[in-house]
Amino acid sequence: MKDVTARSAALQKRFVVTMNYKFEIKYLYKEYCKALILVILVVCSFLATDAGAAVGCTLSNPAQDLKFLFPEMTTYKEEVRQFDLMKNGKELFSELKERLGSDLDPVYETFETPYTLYTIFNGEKIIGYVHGVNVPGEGGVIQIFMSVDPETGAILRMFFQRIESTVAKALKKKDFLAQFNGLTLADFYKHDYFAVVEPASTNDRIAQIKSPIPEGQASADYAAALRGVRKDLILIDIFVYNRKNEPFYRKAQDELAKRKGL
Amino acid sequence: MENRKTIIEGRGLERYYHRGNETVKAVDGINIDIRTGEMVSVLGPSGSGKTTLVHLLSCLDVPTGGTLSVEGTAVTGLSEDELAGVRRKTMGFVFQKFYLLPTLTVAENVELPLLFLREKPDRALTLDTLRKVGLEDRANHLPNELSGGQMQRAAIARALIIKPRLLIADEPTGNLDSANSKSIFDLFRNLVRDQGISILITTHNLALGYLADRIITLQDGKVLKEERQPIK
Amino acid sequence: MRFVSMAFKNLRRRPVRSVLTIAGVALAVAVAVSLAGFNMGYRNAIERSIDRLGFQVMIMAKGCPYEAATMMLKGGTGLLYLPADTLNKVRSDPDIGSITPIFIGLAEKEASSISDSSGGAFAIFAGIEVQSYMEMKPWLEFETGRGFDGGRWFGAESEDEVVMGYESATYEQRKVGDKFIATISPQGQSKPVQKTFKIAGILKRTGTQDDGTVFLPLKTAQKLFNRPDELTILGIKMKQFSGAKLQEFESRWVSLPAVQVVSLQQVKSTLVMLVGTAQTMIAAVTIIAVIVALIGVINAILMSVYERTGEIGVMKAIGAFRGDIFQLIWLETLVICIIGAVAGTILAIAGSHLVESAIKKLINLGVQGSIVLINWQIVAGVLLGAIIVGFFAGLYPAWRAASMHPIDAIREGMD
Repeated sequence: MKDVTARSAALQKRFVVTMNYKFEIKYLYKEYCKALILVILVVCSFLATDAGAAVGCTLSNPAQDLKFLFPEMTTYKEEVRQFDLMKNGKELFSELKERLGSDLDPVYETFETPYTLYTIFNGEKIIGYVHGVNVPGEGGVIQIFMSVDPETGAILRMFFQRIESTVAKALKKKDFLAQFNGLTLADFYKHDYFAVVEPASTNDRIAQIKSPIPEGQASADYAAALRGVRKDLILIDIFVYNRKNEPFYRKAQDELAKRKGL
Repeated sequence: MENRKTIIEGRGLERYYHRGNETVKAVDGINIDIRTGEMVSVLGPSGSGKTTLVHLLSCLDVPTGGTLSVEGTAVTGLSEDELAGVRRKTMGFVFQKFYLLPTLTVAENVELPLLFLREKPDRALTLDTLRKVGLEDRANHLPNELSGGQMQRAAIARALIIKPRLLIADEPTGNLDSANSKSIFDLFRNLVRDQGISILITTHNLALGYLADRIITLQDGKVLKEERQPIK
Repeated sequence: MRFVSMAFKNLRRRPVRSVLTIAGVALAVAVAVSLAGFNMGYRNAIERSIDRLGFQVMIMAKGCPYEAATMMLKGGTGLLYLPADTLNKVRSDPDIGSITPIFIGLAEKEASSISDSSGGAFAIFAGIEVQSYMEMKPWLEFETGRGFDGGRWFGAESEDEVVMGYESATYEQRKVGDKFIATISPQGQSKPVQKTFKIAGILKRTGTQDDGTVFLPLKTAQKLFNRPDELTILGIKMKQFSGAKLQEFESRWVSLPAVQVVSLQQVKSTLVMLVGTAQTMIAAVTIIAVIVALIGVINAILMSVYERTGEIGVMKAIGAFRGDIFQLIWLETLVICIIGAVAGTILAIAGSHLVESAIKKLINLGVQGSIVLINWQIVAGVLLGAIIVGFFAGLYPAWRAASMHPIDAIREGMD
């Protein structure tokens, strides 16, 4: 009996000692594997951003440009967002398409397109966001950037970083661009409603925008620019404000659906 | 006794240390023989020179004076490596602190001397040696899975693997309790009786020391007395 | 059990220490391999970029050839022109295999930043003769797929068709058949002219400055920029390309006023020489990293030797020669260095992409494509180096261990 107890105690001790020893090796091995996987993932993420014709829109001189937009800026943060790397990316991407109200270019406005969001700080406080989009224009890319209010998401300032167009000069006029100051994504959604229900409404801020294109000169670039502004606001709504303008979209769509039913 | 061959013969062995202006005579003119098939214990208080004497006899240290021969061959004047060569063929060692390598199993620890001899280990021989010390079921254990007594037995097995003529044990029971100490000395007795190995032991423990065939008591580097026990 | 397996087991006694020491070696090796890979890759990238120019020799307007050539590599231009009749003169040279005339002009884009005061961007226009250009660069192909299908070259007389390089097209978000608008300032005219082109084709990515170029017929380009009798470059491929032949060729045409003959080999050598100066810095960084790792290894092994003093004494007591102890300790050092070297090499290869992105972000090197090239020669060289370093690193600790007197060691181990 004594022998059995002694043997089982010895076995237990051996088991514990062996397990401790083996555990130490296993632990180190696990840590090593984790590190290796991390290395591979980081390498792959670099490889992933090189995919195809997915070209992003970034500021040419971020530090300079952002300081120009926000003179009281102390630092900024630059982040890249991509639908294909986001949770619910697919759903968000199709939401973009729906809310834009027009097709996305299959070559240049893709699921893999990267978007660069700039967050502007004064000390610890966020004083604004800046984001830009590419839209295909008539004769080249149109790069539209805007700075927005950190609380409301309203446009503080809109500008073209790049535009080569027969109407470029008109579109870049300061008075035209100033019409966008203070506009929000909600205004665009309301415009969808007013355009059908009450076309002449003075509450439709988008309809109030006067086209700078001179008489007789036709260009698809004005429509492309408006589309770009809307796309930019939708993306900012997704990346920053967690789709807070969604209720306006839903309301507009419900009203329009009701109208269709009538 | 008279038919037993002499393994180690020391004549006028001296070992002096110089500490500043002082000369310490750790071993001061000792004559000693160790013969086959006998267990010899060297007793004495701390500082009596017993460890120094054993180190001289086991070729771990070089005497300052006197002569030493191992199996008839003079070893005074040999280099460190030559002394190691003498040791590895003739002597096995057991120490107070066991000194088993913690990352090697018991079997691998036992086979360690063969590594230095460039001999291929024979697992059957290893297990047989472990059987002699009662550890055959611990062959694949690590030292930290053994008790103190078991570790000392493993160290003894390591000393035995090269089939030494002489086993030198310096305070082999210093780290063991009395029950384990007794069982180690019993093991030594059995080895002398069954294998014909000579064993040279230093110990503080008089009771255990007197289990030997011959008891040499040292004091101040000299032999105080030499006693023989009846042949067992 | 052998000495090698004993060495491994001894290293496992202090796994954290061993891992940290190996990590130090691995980092030093990773630095060495990455930097050597960058050195090799950059040289190769230069060679590749220059080879991908297609021509071996350029005749261009007089000016600094290296500056001009570097600007060519970076996709700019020397903005110097040579008389168009040079082509007819040079064409007859018996050593010329093929020759292609190129006219380069810059179309200034609308400002590319928010404030009007900051500089504009350029679109590079290259007027070419398609047939002779394609002879120089037979690898040029049209991109296919959605938005790119149906690409073709323009006719020689076409006045409003262009072919775009891959990057210039995708940056402008153009597809085949789209319009492309550019503002050109013709020579001698103060007012720029906005011209609308149609995109006939978009080329596949080549990894050269062609990717950022907009191609149009030579005559059209000359007309647009109002330089009907001027060219920028004559690209030439020799029948036989050698130093001697080049010198002969140069001596025949050096007398032409206002032109210079630039061999791409010269440009390559100059750029490679510039890289050579960087090599010294690279070597210095690598050496420092190696020394730091070496110190770490020696320290770790020495600590291990001191901790095992008693054991070493006992091993000597039971018959180990000095050489046996030396070998044991020395093998432990070698094992650390070899494992560290292998781990560092793997780390360098896995991280080469990261290294490349980092370097490209920090410096504009003027070449495209991969600039980090880790080949088997680099790997073998570094591994061998690690073994040699390990060899020397292990000498002192091994000697210390082997020199221990058995009794002193055992006595120290008892304390």
